[in-house]
Amino acid sequence: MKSFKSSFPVLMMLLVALVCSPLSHAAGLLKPTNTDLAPLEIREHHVHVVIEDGYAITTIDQVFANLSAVDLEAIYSFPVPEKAAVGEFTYWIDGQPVTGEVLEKQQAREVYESEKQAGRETALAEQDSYRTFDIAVYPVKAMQDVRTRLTYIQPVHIDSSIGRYVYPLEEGGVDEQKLAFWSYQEAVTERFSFELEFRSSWPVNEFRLPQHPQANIQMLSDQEWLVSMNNEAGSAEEGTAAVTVASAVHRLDQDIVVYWRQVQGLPGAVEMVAHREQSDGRGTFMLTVTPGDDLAPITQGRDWVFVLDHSGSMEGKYRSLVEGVNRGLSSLNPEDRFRIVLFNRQAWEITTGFEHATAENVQHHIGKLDRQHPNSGTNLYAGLQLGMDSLDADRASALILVTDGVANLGYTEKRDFLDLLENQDVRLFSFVMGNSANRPLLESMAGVSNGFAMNVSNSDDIAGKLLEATSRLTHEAMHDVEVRIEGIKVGDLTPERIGSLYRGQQLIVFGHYWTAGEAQVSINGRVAGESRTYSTRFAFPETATLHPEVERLWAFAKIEDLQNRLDYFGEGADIEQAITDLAVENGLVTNYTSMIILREERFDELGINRLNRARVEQEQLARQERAVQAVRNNRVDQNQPMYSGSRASHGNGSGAFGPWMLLLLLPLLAHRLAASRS
Amino acid sequence: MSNPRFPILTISLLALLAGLHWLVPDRSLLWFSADAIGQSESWRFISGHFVHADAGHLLWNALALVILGPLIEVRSRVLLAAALVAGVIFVGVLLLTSFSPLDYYCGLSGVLNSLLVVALWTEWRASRSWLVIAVACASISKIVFEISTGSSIVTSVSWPPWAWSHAAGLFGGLVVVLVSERPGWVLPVLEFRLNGPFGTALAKRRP
Repeated sequence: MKSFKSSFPVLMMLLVALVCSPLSHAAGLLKPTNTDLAPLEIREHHVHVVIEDGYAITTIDQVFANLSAVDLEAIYSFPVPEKAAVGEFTYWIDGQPVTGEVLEKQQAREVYESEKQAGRETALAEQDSYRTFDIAVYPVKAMQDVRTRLTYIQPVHIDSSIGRYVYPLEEGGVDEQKLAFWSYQEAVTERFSFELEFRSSWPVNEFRLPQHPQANIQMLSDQEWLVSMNNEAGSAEEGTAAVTVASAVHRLDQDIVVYWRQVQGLPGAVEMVAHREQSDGRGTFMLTVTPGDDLAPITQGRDWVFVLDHSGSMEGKYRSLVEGVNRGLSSLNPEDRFRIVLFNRQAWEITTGFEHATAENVQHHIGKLDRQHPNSGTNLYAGLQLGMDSLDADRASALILVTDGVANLGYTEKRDFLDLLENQDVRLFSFVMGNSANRPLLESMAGVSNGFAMNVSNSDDIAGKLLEATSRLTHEAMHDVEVRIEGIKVGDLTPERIGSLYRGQQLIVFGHYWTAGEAQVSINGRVAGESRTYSTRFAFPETATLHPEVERLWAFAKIEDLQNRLDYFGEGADIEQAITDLAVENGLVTNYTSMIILREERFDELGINRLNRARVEQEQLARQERAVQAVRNNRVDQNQPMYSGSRASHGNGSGAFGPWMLLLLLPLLAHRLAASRS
Repeated sequence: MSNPRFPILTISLLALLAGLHWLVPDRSLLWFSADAIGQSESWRFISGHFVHADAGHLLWNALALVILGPLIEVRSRVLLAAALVAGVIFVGVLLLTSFSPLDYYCGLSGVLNSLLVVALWTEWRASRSWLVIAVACASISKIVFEISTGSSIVTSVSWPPWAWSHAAGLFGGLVVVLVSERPGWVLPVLEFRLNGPFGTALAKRRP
C-alpha cells in the first residue's frame, strides 16, 4: 500500500484548515467606539469582476447613507487584496462622477482635511500598510446618501491548472489598537451583488465557489463563464414583513473565493499581453509562463520543522490545531523526521530534536501539544530561530510556518528576518492565514529561502489548497530562475529576483521594450543541482492598445521590488521617492501615495494635473473594446513551444471507455443479436 | 426471482450513475482518493468507480455499460455482479498502491474492462466466433498502446484516462473467468461449478 503520498502537505493543510475559524471582523464602515454618533449605512454594495488576459479587474460600487440629522464623514475599510493595484476611485459630486488623482500620502491627507474643513465635497483612498485600504468620504449629508466606486487590478495566477480569485472581506483582528478604537458596520442594508465575467484563452471545465453555493454559475462556452449572486430574493420582498427585510441584509464578513479548473492535458505555454501606443515609443509587456510538468517527484526522506503560532489570536482554534497535527503526523512517511516548535512571546520545542514519525512518537507529542494553552503576543523571530536550530546538513530540511498574525514582540523588522533566513540552508514554506497577517514579510522570507508563501482564506476549499501544497512540496523545484530576452531592446524586468518555481506555479514577468520584432526568450534555472534552460522565439508587437492596464501592473510589480529593496537595505529616501514617483505617474495607491477626489474646479485651483483621469478613460475604452471582441488567445509560443509536455495539474485520473472502445463493442453486440435471432 | 433476461441490474446501475452525477451536489466527496480512504473515508473505494468527471465521461461509460451489461446479464446476473465486484476490487487495489500516481480517480471504465473480459468469454463459450478473438485482441492492443505511449485515444474527458486502471480491470475480469472455468484452481474450498452460482445458461451452451 502506498504511504499516502501527500503525507506532509496533508498535515500542513489540515493544520491550516482546522485553525481557520469564524471571524468577528469584516470589511465595513468604521465608527469611533466612544461616540454617540448614529452609524452610517452601507445601503448598496456591488462588485463586478472581469477576469481575462491574465489579470482581474475588480470594481466596487457603493452607496453610503446617513440617517442622522447631522452631516457625517464615512470611512470604509477593507482588507488589502493580494497584489492589487488600486488605480481608480470615483465619487459622485452633484450627480457627476469625479475620478481621483494620486498625490504623495501626506499631501493628499492635508488636502482632504482642508477641503473637509471648508465644507467641500472630498474623498480619500489610503493604504494602511499591508492591512487595509481605507476610503474616507465627506460629507455624507444628513438624511442623504453618497455613491463611490473603487477599481483595482491584479494578476491572476493559475496553479496546477486551477485558477483562484479572492474578493477579500474578512478582517483578521490582529490590529488591536484599531479594533479598540473603531467599531465596524459591515451590513449592506439594501442591495448586494457580486458578478464575475470570465474569459480565458484556455478551456475551463468547472467553476466553484466553495462557501457560496447559492451563486449562479453560467457556462457560456468552455472559455466564457459568468458567476453572479445577490440578495435579490430579499429585496424583491422589500416592504413586507420585517423578518423578510432582515434576511435580505448581506454582511461583508466572508471572503468570496472563486475557483476554476482548466481542462487537463493543456500544454505548457507562454502568453503575452502588451501595451504600446506608438511604434517608436516604449511598450510594456506581461509574460505569463505556464511550465510543462517535468519536475520529478521527491522520494528520499526529509526533515520537517513545524513552527506553529501559539499566540493569543489562536485561542479557540487550538484544539482543532492539535487534532490536525495528530491526523497529519500519523500519516507521515517512516523515513521522514519532524520537530515541533511553538511560539508566542517566546519559543519552545515540544520534541527532543528530530524524531521519526513512529506511532509512539506521534502520540507522545500530541499529548504534549494537547496540554498547551495559547496566549500572549507573537514573537515570530524567536519561533523561527529555534526552528532553525539543529538542522542536519546531510538531509533536506524544510521549515513550515503557520501563522495568522503579525510579529509584534522581539525582533520585528523585516530585515532581521531576512538576515536570519539567509544564514541558513533551509526552505521556508509559510501558510498565511486570513487577510491580516503580515504577508509582505512572510512572502519575502519565503522568497529569500527559495520556499513559497501560500495564502489561505477561511473561505478556501481546503481540499483544493491541500492539493496545491501537495503538488509543490512533493516535487523538485526549479531554483535561481532567470528570464532572458534577446534580440530586441528590453528593460525594467520585474520581479528583479524570481527565486524558485515550484511544480504547478506560473511565472509572471513584466517589463518594458523599445523595439518591436522577434525575440529569443529563455528561462534558466537549476533543478536538482543541474542547470536547465527552456527557450522559444516570438514577436513583440509594433503597437498594442487593448491592454493599457499592463502599465499599472508593471508599475505595481516594480514598486514591490523597490519596497523589498527598501526593507532589505533599510531606510532610503531615494527609494521612497522612486516609489512615490512611480505611483503618482501610474496612478496607484501605495504606502506612500493616496488618491484624492475634489470638486472638479478644485483640481485646477490646486494645480493638480488630471493624469489619472486620462488614464482611467483610456482603460475604460479598452475594456469596452475588449468586451465586444471574441475571446483572445494570447499564447505566443505556438510555433516554437517552450515546453514539450502538458502543464501540471492535480493528480486526477479517470476511467473512460471512449468512442473507439464502443466501436469495438458494436460488432460484438451485433453478433449477439444475430445469434439470438437465429 | 425476476426474469433473468431482463437486465434489471444494468438498468439499476445506469440509474445509479445518472443519479450520482446529477443529484449529488459535491461529487468530490465520492472520488477515489487513497489519502481520504486512509483517513476513514472508506466509501470512496467503491463510490469512486460510479461517479464521473463530466457529462461526456458519463456518457461514454454509460453507453459501454448499456452494451456490456445485458450481454452478460441475460446469461447470468450473478456473473455480472461478480465482474463488477472484481473490477472494483482490482482497480481499487491498484489505485491504493504506490504504483498509482493519482491523487483522485473517478469513472467506471476500469470496472467496464472486467465486464468486457467476462462478456467476451461468455460469447466465446457460446459461439467460438473469430469476432470475439478480434475484439479481444483490439481491446488489449488499445490498452497496451495507451500504456506504452502514455497518451490516450480518448481526449474528450476533462480528467485524463489512466490506462493502467483498464489493465487492472481486465485482470479482474480474467480472475472471474478463471474462477468460473477452473474453480478447483482458484477456490478449491468452494468448488464452484459453472452450472452453480454463475448460471446454468452457460453450461447448456457448452459443446
